[in-house]
This record gives sequence, structure tokens and C-alpha cells, in this order.
Amino acid sequence: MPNEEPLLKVRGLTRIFGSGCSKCTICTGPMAGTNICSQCRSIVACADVSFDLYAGEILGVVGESGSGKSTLVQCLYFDIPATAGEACFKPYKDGKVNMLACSAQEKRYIRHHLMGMVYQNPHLGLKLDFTAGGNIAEKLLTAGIYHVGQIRRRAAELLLRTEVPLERMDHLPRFFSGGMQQRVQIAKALANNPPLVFLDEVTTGLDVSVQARVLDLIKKLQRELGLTMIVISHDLGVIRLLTNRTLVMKTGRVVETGLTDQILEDPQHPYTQLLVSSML
Amino acid sequence: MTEILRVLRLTKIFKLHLLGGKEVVGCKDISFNLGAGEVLGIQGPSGAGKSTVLKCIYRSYVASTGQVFYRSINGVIDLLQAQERDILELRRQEIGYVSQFLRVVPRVSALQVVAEGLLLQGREESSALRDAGRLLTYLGIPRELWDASPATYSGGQQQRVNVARAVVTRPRLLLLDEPTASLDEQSKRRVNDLILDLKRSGTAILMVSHDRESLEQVADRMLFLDNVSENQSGEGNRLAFKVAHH
Amino acid sequence: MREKKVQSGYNFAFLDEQSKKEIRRRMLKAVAIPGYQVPFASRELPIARGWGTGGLQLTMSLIGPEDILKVIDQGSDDVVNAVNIRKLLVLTTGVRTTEDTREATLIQTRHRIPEEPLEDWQILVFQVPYPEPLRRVEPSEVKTREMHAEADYSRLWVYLYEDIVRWGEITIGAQYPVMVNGRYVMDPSPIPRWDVPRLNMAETLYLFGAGREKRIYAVPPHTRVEPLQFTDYPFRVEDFRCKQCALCGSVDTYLDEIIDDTTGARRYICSDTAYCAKRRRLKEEAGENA
Repeated sequence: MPNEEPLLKVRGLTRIFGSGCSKCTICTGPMAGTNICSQCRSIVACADVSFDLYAGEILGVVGESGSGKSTLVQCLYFDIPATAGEACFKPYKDGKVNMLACSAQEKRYIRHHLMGMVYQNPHLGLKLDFTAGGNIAEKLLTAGIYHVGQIRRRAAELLLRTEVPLERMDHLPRFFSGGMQQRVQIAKALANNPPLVFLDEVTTGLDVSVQARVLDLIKKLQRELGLTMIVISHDLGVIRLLTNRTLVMKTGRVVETGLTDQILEDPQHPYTQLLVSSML
Repeated sequence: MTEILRVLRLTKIFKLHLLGGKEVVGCKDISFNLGAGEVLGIQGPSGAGKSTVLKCIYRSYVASTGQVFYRSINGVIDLLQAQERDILELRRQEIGYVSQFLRVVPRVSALQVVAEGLLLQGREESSALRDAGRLLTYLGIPRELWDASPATYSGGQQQRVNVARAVVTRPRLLLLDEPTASLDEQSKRRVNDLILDLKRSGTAILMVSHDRESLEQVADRMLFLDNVSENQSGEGNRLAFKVAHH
Repeated sequence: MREKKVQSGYNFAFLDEQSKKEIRRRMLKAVAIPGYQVPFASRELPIARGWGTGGLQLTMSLIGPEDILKVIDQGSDDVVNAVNIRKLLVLTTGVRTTEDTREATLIQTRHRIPEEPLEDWQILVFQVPYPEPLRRVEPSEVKTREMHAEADYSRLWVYLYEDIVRWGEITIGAQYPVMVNGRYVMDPSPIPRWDVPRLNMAETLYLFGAGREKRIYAVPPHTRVEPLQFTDYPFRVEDFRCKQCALCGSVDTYLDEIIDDTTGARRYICSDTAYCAKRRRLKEEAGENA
């Protein structure tokens, strides 16, 4: 059996919006049926999330709106600070430090050099007033490539891979279709060959046919580049197509983890059974 | 003959929370073993838990109790206790599974679907596609359909693609769930020949089927499962041996 | 030319000593962190903000009775802004003034570095309209400070990249962003690109004051100052090949283009008027001696 260390090791990740109190984690969760603390009214967006992710794996995180799945990824990508918990990331200092406790500069380094993110809303991932090429250039410039020719070659290569016509390279993504904006976002996320890519509801809000193309593209890139990904979706269909393993979240907690086909065919937790039965 | 798989008292009980926690027995106290180059056929009435056994071994189901020892290239491992990533690695490298239904990403060509297992193993693309094409040809899928998505295929064609994608990597252990259902006679023969071919090269094969004729043709031994709901206190499965006819 | 009369009723150099002390402290901090913008409490002055009050406050805090002062605006000593500032300083200090760069101990400038080389006993004070080099890509001050703190200059780089994509070259003329000491990107004030290389590894202390924006920053002597540039699109200064000053004949100074209102003819003359006059004087003397 392969016996390497996980690429990402998350332990007890918690994010509370509000003042927080000692009762917060007891008063919330699937049993309580809420993520609002009855004592202090803080919102426990996610609490005590732990998992290991290995290189080459695609981990799904599924749950309804408000289950805390996006918060989880935002904490890991440093969009918002975590309230508590640890995350060790192998490509950064060999996974020996808790990256959640790093300085802002270190986080920025990790984010730009070692991670890629594709948001549901292209406005968050792209600067719509920079050209498609400029958006990709931003990642490359952050990584210290100061050669226009080199940047343009790499951008063209990425756009080709993500099936964006090259003549659109110097156009503003503001005027692109939703599907194409998503593909530019994917190209940007992959610019520095990051060891870990986050996909947050990437196909939500796209036409069904466009959805299929984007999913297909992600699948292809995963196979060709051996990407490691965390895929957030409320859509079990997307989870089934893209992921090997899945975390099921409800009211801020992980209620079940397992192989994706097991989660879908033999869900254990009452909530997962409900989720799966509503899908079929 | 090297033993590849040993299943001990495998039991699966489903707990249906949506029905007030009602428990349904999937299979109970199933034990058997399987050697390299051996085909074990599993027979029994609908609801006897034939597919359940396969899915528990493949880990699509979480078994309730029991043990499933598998002799992998790297040693013996209890599949029921193995880590998820080890299971994923075994699925990629050693264990093939043909389900009753084909599930694929829309828009991906049949050729790609079949070649995927090889590509995931790190095979070079042109060689993987060549092997996939050869297999599709053998199973009678016309070349002009290769670029279409299997989602657009007829039931029988889909089933053949399903078989092809599982056998293309020539797995060490192959779990077949009704591989010949909805196939015409010629396709059935071809699939059975494929199974025999793998068997000859040492693959251990577990085959669930309603198709008595196919089982007769390929299986060395048979496992009969009774309908568990009528036989809940029963002693489990009966094994029937048959003399190999080759 | 020592001015005789110092206006009574005002403190030396107008500002009270406490304010000068505070501003000097800020300047020390700016020197300690080259290129970093230090906030300061910009004082009220008898001239309006936006007219050089940042530079003026630095000069007022630095100047002593023995200093020899030069004030220029776009290279010229005689433009109204320079004249006013000089008058105010002289009126409240009585210091000697000069037009000769080589003689001045303290030079306040707007948008130019004098042509003649400066030395380590001189200080050059710049008037700065917009101290924030990231403003063209980020309107929020909170964000730009965060970007400086994290040395996150990728968006400015993308701006330069897009400039090249669109125009085939970087179109920024004056106010070309520079990297100071490998850490902070700095706005060198609207000096022409011509002057940018002279910020690098200089002998002189350069101080920058933005009165309206309330920022002080500095380039201490012997500090690396590099214009942002791409390996395949290197930084270039303005091209004056085949052009020379119509007055002194100089071919190695920054030239202003003058269009004659009546004839429409183009002429080029030195932007540094004092240096131009000096050259002409020297030429005449050489001619007389010959």
C-alpha cells in the first residue's frame, strides 16, 4: 500500500461568526438542528472538521446551503480566518506547521504559489477589468515570472487546455459568457501548477449543457495533470462525477465521510440518507 | 492455486433512518474463498443479497460484520477495515467491478471511458486508446460509435462498454454483477470468452448472474444464496462445487 | 545674497519647534524604512495644500540659519510656485538662497532632479502630489496598505503587463513606479523617467513629502532603486537622440519641447534652467578667453 503522508491534514477546524462562548459547540450541530448558539447567538459556521487529503485525491464536500462547506474552504484558502483548528499542508514547510496560524505574508505565499481556487462567482476569482491573459499573468507575476513573452506563452497554453479560444486572451472576461468565465478562472487557478485546487460550486448557475462541459473539462484536467482537489457542491450529481471521497456536512459539522460511491449507495447517517433519497 | 479472496461471515444490515430506523438484512453470514484463476458464480433469487456481497467487497456498501481478506500484490489486507485511500488504490490497480448500470460523465467518448482505467494507471494515451479500441471491436461496438458518449448507446451496448472498462486493466480480482444481462447471444459469448481469457491469465472472478447458461460455461464453482428475509436464522450460504469441464 | 529682513512675529521657518521635531522624527522613520510611506500630521501653512506643502514642511523642519536654499519647479527657479515657496522660507528664516545646484545645501523641488550631480552634504526634498503608487490599481487605502505590508504588487505588475499588451510598451511617463531596496514599491513623484536612474545608489538623501495626503517617505543614500520592468521589456528613459537644447546646445540633459505660438515651430530647451544658464555663461567666458 502507498504509505506517504497526507498532502493536507485538517484537525478540528472551527469558524464561529460572532463573539462565541464556551457553549457554542454544544448548543449547535446536527443534534441541535441549528448552527446558531442559543447562549450567545454566535453562528457556528463549521466546527471540529477533521480530514486527511492525499495527493491525487479528489475530495467532495456536500451539504445544503448553510452547512458550512464554503466556510471550510474559505478558511483553508485564507479568505477568512479560522477561529480554531489546525491545517498542515505538505508542500509548505513539509507539513510541519499549522498554516492557519501563519503570518499574512506566509498565507499569501501559500495561497498564490501552492493553491488554486475556482469560485462559484467569477467576480471573486477574476478581475473582470483585467484581460483574460492579465488574470493569468497575475498569478505568474506573483510567482516572480517577469517576462512578458513567457507569461503569454504560459497563458496561451492554459487557455488552450481549458478550451478558451486564444483570440479571447486579450479581451476582458466581463464580456464573456458564464461558462467561459469559469474556464478562464480554472486556467488562472492552474497557472502555477498548484498542488491543491479548490472548486466551490463551480457549475452552479450555469446552463445544464455548459455545466456538462465544465465538469468534463475538470475531469480531463484532473486525469492529465493528476490534480488534487477539494470540490464543494450541494449537487450530489457533481460530487458523483468528480470525486473519490466525500465529506457530508450539516449545520457546520461533518456527519459522514466515505468513498463517494459508498456515500451514494449506502449512506449511514440519517441526514445523508435523506440527502441521497431526495436526489434520486 | 493461490487464494486471492477469503470472505468470512459477511453480514450486511441496512438501517433505514427514513423509515424510523427499520433494519433490513442485505446478506447474512456469507463465507467463501476464491483462488487465482478461479471463477465463482453466485446464484440465488432476487433479494437474496448477491449484489450486496459484491458491493460489500468493493466497499460501495459498509458491511456490518465479517471479514474480507484479499491478497493484494503487497500482502493480505482486510478490505472491510482498509483505509479509503487504500481501497481507491486497489480499485485503480487491482480490483475491477462491473455494475449493473453504467454511470459516465456525459460527453466523454466511449473510447475514453474504456481507456480511463489504463490512463489512471499511468499508461501512455495512444497505447491506452489502442487497447480500448481493440476491446470495443472485440465486443462488437462499431468504430463509428466510439467517439459518441455511451450515454447515447442502447442498453446492450452500454453493458458491453461497462464490461470493457472493467476488464481493460486486466485486474487481479474482478467482481461481475450481471455482466451478460440484456446482451444478445453473440455478445454474451464474447463477454464469456473475455471472462475465460482473464481467468486463464490468473484473475480471480466473482460473478453474480441470473444467466444459468453463462454461469455453467465460465464458473468453476457456484455459491447459492437463499432469500435472507425468509431464512434469517439460517446458516447462510451453501457452496456447490462442480467439476471443471476443461 | 543674504536677505536682510526676517519677518517678526513668526517662529524661525514658520513652524513651531514641536511640529518640526515631530516631522523630523517621521523623516527618521522614513529613512529607516526606505520607500515606506510614513503618515504624519500635515500642518496648516499660509499656502494651500496641493501647492507643495508636503515638501515645504520637510524643508521648514530641516532648515537652519546656515543653510543655502534652492527651490525649483519643473527644473526652473523662476516659476511662480518656486518663487512663492522661496519667498516664504526666506521671509521666516533669512537664509541665503542660490540657483546653483552645486552650492545649495537644501533643495526643494517639484517634478525634477537637478542635472548636476548631487553630493552627500546635500538634501533633495520632493513635493509629492500622490504618494501611493498602487492607487492606479486599487482605490482603497486600507487595501493598498495591506498590499504594501505583504509586498503584494502583482496587480501593479498586471497593469504594466496589460499596458504592454495594449500599446506594445509601458506608457507611464512621469511618476514611474520603482522598487526601493527590494521591498517597497514607491512613487518617485512625477519626475520624468529620465531622472529615475538617478535615484539609484545616490550620494544624496532624497526626502518626499505629500502635504495633502499626509505622507513622508525617503530614499537614503546608497539605496537600490529599480524601476519595475520586464526582462523582455526593459525600462527606458525618454529619447532625446538627434535633439539638443536651443539655448545652450546640450545633448545630454532632459529637454522640454516648446512650440512657438506664432510660427508653430518646435524647439527644445533644457528643463533645468539654472544649469542651462550656467553652461551658456561658461561657454561665453570660454569664448571671451579664446
